[in-house]
Amino acid sequence: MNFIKFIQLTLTLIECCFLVAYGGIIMKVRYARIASNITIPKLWRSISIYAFVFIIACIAFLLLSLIGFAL
Amino acid sequence: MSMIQGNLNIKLLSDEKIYTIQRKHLISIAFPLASYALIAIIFIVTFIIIISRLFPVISPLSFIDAALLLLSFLVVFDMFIIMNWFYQFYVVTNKRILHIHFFKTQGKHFEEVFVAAGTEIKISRVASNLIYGIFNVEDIYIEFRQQDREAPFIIRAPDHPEKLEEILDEIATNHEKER
Repeated sequence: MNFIKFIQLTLTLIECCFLVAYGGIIMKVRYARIASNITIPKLWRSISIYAFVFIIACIAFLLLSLIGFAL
Repeated sequence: MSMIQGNLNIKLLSDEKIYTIQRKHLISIAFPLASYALIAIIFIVTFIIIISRLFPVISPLSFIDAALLLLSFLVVFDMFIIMNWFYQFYVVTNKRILHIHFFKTQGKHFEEVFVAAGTEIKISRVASNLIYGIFNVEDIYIEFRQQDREAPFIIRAPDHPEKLEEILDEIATNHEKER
């Protein structure tokens, strides 16, 4: 069971790294938007929000399952 | 493309006129997106098969976790590819050819080559693979017959290669007339 917990924790950490990568993309998009004067279409903005919610949901899910294994 | 021309923030030289602004063809991002999706699917299936064999009593939550993890991986990388494509332009003016990356973490952000009067250029359109050939997506190689630039300027998979070729031909012809 410890091995499974270890995998869960690793997955959570990797997920956090993705969140950082996502934050990096958003920052780069902001600079690109200012430099180019081109805004992202509404559809892509909504996809971006969806991606953020999705990644947060993933982390929440992983943490919940981790707690489930711990109990 | 006129929509981009109206909005794009580029500093122009005096008497410089923009002929065309083009992004790369959509197919150039369709391939990486499809390959990422395929890799994610293969990983998920492999993970399920291997883990279910090794640990038959493992909770199904782990499979869902792994699937979500790979999907979020897919989301982040796909977003990166799409944004990289969206903020990348080839600009052809009467004086120079530019390749601008507004969204880039490494490598060249800006590359330009001046097409001065008297410079002879050789233009060739090359389809880099069979699928690009079928969809008429071609790279444009612009070779300069001068000492200071021996390597060709390559416009990779633009949206309308034939239009770019026409414009470049026009520029070359105008320069011939000026001489």
